[in-house]
Amino acid sequence: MNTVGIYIHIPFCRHACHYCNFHFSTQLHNKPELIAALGKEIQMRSTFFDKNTLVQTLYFGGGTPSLLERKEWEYLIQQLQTHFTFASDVEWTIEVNPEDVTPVSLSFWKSIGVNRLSIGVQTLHAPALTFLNRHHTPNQSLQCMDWVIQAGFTNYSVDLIFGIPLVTTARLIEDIKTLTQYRVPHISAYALTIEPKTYFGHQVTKNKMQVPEEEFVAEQFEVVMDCLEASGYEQYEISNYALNRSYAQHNSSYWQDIPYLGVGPGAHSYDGQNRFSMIENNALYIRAIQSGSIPLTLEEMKPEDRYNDIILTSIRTKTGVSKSWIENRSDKERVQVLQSIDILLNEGFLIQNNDYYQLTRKGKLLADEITLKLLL
Amino acid sequence: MENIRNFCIIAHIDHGKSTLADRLLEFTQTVTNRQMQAQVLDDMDLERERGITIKSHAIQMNYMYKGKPYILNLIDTPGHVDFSYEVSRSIAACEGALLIVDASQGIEAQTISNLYLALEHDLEIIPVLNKIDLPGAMPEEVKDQVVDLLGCKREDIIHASGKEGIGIEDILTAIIERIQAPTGDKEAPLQALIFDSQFNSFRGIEVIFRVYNGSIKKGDKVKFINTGKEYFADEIGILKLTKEPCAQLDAGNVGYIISGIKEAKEVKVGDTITKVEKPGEPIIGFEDVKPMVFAGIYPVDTSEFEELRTSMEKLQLNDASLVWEPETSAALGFGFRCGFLGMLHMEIVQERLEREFDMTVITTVPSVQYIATLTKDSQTVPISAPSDMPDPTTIDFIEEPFIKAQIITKVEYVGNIISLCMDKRGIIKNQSYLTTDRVELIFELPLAEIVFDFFDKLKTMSRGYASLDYELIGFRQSNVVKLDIMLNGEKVDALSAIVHRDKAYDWGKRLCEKLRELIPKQMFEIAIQAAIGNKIIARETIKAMRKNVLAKCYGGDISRKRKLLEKQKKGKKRMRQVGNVEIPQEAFMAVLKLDQ
Repeated sequence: MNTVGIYIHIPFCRHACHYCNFHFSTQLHNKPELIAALGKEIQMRSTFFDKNTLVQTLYFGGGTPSLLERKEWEYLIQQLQTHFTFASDVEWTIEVNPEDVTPVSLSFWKSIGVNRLSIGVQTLHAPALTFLNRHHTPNQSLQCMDWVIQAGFTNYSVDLIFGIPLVTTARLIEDIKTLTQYRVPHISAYALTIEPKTYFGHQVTKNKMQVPEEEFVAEQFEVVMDCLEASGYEQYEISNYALNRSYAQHNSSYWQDIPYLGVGPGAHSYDGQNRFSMIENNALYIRAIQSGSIPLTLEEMKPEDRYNDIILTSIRTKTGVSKSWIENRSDKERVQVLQSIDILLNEGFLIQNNDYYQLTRKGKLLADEITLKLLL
Repeated sequence: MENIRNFCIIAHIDHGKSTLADRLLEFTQTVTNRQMQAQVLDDMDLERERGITIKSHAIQMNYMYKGKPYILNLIDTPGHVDFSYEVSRSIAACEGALLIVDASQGIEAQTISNLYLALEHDLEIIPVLNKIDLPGAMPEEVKDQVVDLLGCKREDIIHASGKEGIGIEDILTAIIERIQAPTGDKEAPLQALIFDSQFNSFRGIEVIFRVYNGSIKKGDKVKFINTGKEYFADEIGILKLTKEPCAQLDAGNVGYIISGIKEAKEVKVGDTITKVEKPGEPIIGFEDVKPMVFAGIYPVDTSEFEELRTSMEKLQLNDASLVWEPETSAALGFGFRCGFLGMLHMEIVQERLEREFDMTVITTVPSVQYIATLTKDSQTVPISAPSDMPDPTTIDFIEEPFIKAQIITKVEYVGNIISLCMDKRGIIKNQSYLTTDRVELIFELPLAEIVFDFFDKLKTMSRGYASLDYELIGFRQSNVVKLDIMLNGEKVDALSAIVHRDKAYDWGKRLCEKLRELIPKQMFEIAIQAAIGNKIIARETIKAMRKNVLAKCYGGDISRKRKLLEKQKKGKKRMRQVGNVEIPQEAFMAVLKLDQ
């Protein structure tokens, strides 16, 4: 039995975060039509996987899934259950904003089968939340975590952003301490990245904002790794830390070459061979689905693309990249890759652990630079 | 012959030469409106964008005046010091010149220096005040300048506007009335001066010439005196907007010959065409144009070497002044050592490679040609690349090329220009007033010092009002050294340069600083050192990169991350690796940007 994942994209937000470049709209008026289209797409793509596949992970991301209303949840679940078979121990995650979480919403989510929450805390420093254009307070985040625990969610994750210009390293350490005292089972920690076509991106282009200093971000990345490690977290992927093996199963499937179906505008799918991306426009998405077509773009994967994808995802994991797997390839660039690996080993950017090359602490800071040397 | 007039136009770049020429062509119905692209004469894209005519052309007009038909040959001239020899040959093919001056700008320095060249050749000068329609025109003041300079009568100066079509008829009248008809003996042995050539990919080289004596007929067996090569005149003709074949061209006229020549190097501007049977004497003034500046040209992508070779060969077909031979660099791989007439010529070659052949190239530090005399048996060795430099212990002395530079400028800039020339190791030889506020300065300068940024600096400090003309006057002993650049201890041959010892420290320091800006941070710390022999004279450090990891993995959008990385990887492939250091192509051009 093959196991797969399903991702559902909820492309709406009340406010646009200044750093976010995922697909979303702050215009909520066509939400009902969009939800209907999601339901229809689920049906239309029910043959995406082979027969005899079991959905092991289900993930509602966004956008803001916590904007969905009861009847919308119920409709989507009904569609999913009609068209796919779920494992009995499915990991079902939804992304939530702290301000949307109440004991009532929590008990509802629990009742429909959600068993993991990913909470968009980002920082516990109030001015930084304003700077990022987040619309919750640090207290709301803490209250949210209390309620999550009280509601009996044993598995949840908190998103943390470091490298925010307003947040000093001392302040960051305080925030991490707060989170670790909660014994948050899973933390995803990302550096603030300035992306084009975001508010911050425009500010930088107009010279109204500086890209965070490399040294500052590097220092905070080191602090995050140190503090979390000291509190018993395992950095099982470059941005992901888990207590007691509470790994994010769904996200892990992205770097374990496991197929996944992405539903909704801007969502991505992988069938084990090729990748597909859905149109990133709510209105066009709705119109196409209503008229019975699926506005997908197919990205055919050449053998070197598949190799590169495996390299760039697995090098970020604790397990690392298989030595024999690289050696057994016949590409002519393989020789050069192996030469680069030798240098990286000698210079202490990689270590070899049985058959696996793994990033050292020094290597983690330069993961992308190292990845470049391993790509075809 | 008495109904032929041969003339050129002397004008500053933006004083409206091309527009005025267009009007002459229109008025004489040489081109119809439909054929009229803006500025017909500049038909290479590059020329149009740079606003200068790189290669000279000629065009013939027919005009009825007082009931008699006239043939007017307009000979176009290039306007940059790199091509001064070509200008002198074009001028030698004329009896008169239109001196076009912008009525709002007055006379510019470069105009004066070309005007002098025309006066040296006894050309009749017809002054034309152009852009007379502009609100900013100051015709009276500019006329004063012209009278000062030419000693002509005020009423001889024609008012014109190329844009509005004013004064065109007056100009044509003046060309016929004032410029002498060519003289020459139709029956004498053939003497025709080559002043230009053009490459036609179907028919080979079209040679453009002016007949001084004798006549040339289709089918004649001709000889180019200086190259000694003989050809059959497969086709001869006159140059209109298109080429019009004819049976015979007589003394005084301008035309073209096609004789199956495939390579531009067989055609030398200034050479004389004569007949194999009954040969004439060569026309005096021929010079073999020699390259002044040398640099390596390498493909950015090492696998494109053969493509580059093919492109260079094609380029050479219509650019005889470009010379090259294969060269190898440890840093850059296989490429070519090229000789150019000057820096502009080098830029043009590089740009043509990019535009016409779609080649991206790296050009290395330009150098002049030095001559080393060795201690042992006084043998001499030419050095046109730093890698040619013999072991210093074997060298008795080195000589470097010197030029005589003529600079014409306004009085107020003289001080600054003298300091600039002194800074460039120049010796002032003469200073004279051409008019009350125009000064001619004569310097002797090492050619190497004007190769880089001299012309730009001159233009900047004189607000554009300074001309530069130069000629080689010989070689002089000089204390020059080879300066090397090392990255993490590895010598980068493509960054070596030959510099005067007194300037080596400053050069080394500035180059290291520039490289620190241009070489991106890498996984390792990079030491940039400048050295003379084993002695380090400057050092800069590029710190190791601290962080490069996009923490986000974009949800399930793995492709996006892959494409981002692939783009970076592609960028890296364009870099060159020396030791463990990756060097971007801009770094190899750093020397040219030391002052920016």
